[in-house]
Amino acid sequence: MTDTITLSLNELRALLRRTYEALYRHGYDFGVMARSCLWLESHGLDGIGLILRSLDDLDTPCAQLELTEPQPGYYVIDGQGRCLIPFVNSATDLAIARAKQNGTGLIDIWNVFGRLNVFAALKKSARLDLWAAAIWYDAVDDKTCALWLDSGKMLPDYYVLPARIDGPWGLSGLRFVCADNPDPVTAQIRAVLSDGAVPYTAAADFAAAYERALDFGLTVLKPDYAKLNALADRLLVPSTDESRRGAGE
Amino acid sequence: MRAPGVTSAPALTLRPASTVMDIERLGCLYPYPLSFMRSLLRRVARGNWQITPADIDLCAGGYGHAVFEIQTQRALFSYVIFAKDLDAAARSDRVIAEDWDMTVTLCEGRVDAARLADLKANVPLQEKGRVDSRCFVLSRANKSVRNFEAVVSALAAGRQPDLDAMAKVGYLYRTTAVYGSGKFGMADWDKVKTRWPDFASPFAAEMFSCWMIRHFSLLQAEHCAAARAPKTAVKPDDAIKRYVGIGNATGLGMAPYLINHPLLINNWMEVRETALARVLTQTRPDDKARGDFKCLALKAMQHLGEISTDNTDQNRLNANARKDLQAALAWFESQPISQWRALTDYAAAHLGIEAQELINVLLTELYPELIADLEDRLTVDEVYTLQADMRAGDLKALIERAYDWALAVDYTDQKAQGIFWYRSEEKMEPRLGRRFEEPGADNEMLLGIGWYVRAAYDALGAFIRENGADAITGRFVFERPEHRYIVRRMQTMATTRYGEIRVNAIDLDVLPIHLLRCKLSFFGVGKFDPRSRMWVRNTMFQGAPLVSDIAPDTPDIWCFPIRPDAG
Repeated sequence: MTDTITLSLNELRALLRRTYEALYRHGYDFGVMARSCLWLESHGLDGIGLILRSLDDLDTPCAQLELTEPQPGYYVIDGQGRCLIPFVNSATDLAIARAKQNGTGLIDIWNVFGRLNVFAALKKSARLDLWAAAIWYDAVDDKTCALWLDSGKMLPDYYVLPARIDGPWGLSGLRFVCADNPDPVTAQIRAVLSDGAVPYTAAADFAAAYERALDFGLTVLKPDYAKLNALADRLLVPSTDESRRGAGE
Repeated sequence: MRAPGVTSAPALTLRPASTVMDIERLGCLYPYPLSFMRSLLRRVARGNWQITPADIDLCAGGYGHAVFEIQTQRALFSYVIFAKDLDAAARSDRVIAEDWDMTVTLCEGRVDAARLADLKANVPLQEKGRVDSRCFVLSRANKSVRNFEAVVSALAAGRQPDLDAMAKVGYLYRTTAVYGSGKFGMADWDKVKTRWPDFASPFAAEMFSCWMIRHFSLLQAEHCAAARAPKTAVKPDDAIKRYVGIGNATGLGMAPYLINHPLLINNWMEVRETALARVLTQTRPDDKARGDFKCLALKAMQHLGEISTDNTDQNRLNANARKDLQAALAWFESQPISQWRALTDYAAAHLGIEAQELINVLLTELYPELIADLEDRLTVDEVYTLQADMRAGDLKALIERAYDWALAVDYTDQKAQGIFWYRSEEKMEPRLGRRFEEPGADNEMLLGIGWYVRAAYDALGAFIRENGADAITGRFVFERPEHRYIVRRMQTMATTRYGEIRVNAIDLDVLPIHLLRCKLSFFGVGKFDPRSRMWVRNTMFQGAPLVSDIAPDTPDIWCFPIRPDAG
């Protein structure tokens, strides 16, 4: 008996939409949250694992996050130790808006986990013809990570450096920068990457992973699939004779 | 060379969104030349697709399996059918049914014995089975038992089927669900679109599946008749076979699709309206076109008169449409009009909406060459991007401009939010509940778009009072994340010509059937037979070419099908 199930991308997206909707009802943009996770999974970055490892946090009422703007175009958010998933899109939106308005946008998000969820912000930057990068330090594995979206690419390169590199991201934060020209982003990325650094996963590898997922589907562990369904099923309403009349009979 | 009656191309004037996207008008739409069934069969004919039986294994009762191979100019596909002897008590049109007379799948490549066994273990289970990404349609159908038996009996006795009965129920099978787009492990739409261009237009694969179900239903009836009376059985005449369509039952599940895909629906409407605008601005009613219009109008009236439904409202609508069309025809014959717009202006001033939309369809039917290129524009990548840098004041103005219809609703009136949509635990079937009487509103689906627009608009007003109109949208949705979805939707749809369907989907008196008919008209479905305000029976592919008719020169003239003995 196989312990995996193969899902299409659309099938997983629908399941994730229902999962997030069940968690937050309409309190967050569950459609874009689902797409963000789907992108991770379909590009080989274990989006489902990121959700499941964050479940305790996701299933807890969201915190009221404090947003500050120390300088024009530079935002800071204290994530209060929470998972990045619910607010990563609206947080990076702020930087993207600044980049569209003034050329450069920068945001530091402190004290969060699940930072790879920022991947979607780089995809959005690509769609808007921006350059972008995200940098953070993973204290658990003692490695510094960077996603770098270079000119003209639709997907970032992913760098993993086996060392702690200090920066505004601290031990549990994240810096996201985007711009309408390469210089501000390159300046940030050069703080951690030397010339000639080789990506851990190159944009082409992400693209190939996506094509494989499209052709053959995504392999998901059945217990993980069951956990997501159990969450998503919170949305379902018990069936009664009266409710069946609500379907047209 | 320009077609006769076609003039040079002045700027197009399309009808406004306030007219086109009105829910009542959308509920009056008829199939037209760019409806998906029509487009599909034109493509099948142009490509001279070869559809051949590869493995037919049916018992005398018509039960067993059948595999057809479809060779296009680019690829080989297989269509696999499993037919069983279904317990009558299990036969239901509802999504929540568990067993069916016929289950099918459309898949890439050739089906060998091992693959057939795998499909046999899963396809008949439908939602409870799993298929792989070589499959891209999964569907099922139930017999119209009385009609099927009547046809088999007649053929077995050496007679042609009774046309009166066929006119009443124009099919042998009814589909009850047609799944695609990655459901149950199937190929995603993006895969279909990029890997299999033969099916790279909206719902082409799903429509093809329905056409093949119709093909098999005729083959099965012939097979059963021959098995029952080998010495006397006859085959049905081709004209009668063409008159056999495939039934369909469509319920609430289709309505959320329309609301959740506004960019796609806007695009479909824009293509449709562009087709009409081209006819109105680039053609003139010369003698030939006048004659063609009259013939087609008479055929449409005949078609409407042959529709059999027990639904009083639908009968009234059909009768009024016939009466109106008769009046329009009388007016048309008395007027030496120089532009078709004179006819549509007359219709707008004197006729009901049904007849107005019917006339619009008749006009587009007259000039297929003028609109043929539009069928390549029906697909759109749906991306709803938040424009975080938009000034809050500009967002407010955008809402007031593009969503005035939503802001006009008074949601403090309980009736205006009297309904909620939810997913039932029975196969996640979408259902309606009464908000103030039934439990479940906490799990409401996000379909009351107007209500969410109003909520976002009010919150935005408060945000502007606090932060000023120059504050950015990104800041607003960061502080109020519950509005992020509706804001990016509004920002996106405000840039389109037609925008949203103008319906308050949570009004106590909402008529989902309007949404169903709108979508079904784009599919190419006719003969609407509403069973309630929430589901409708209808007929697909009636009058369409048979598989044996397919050739590059197969004519596309099967709109408004009428009895073969009525011509």
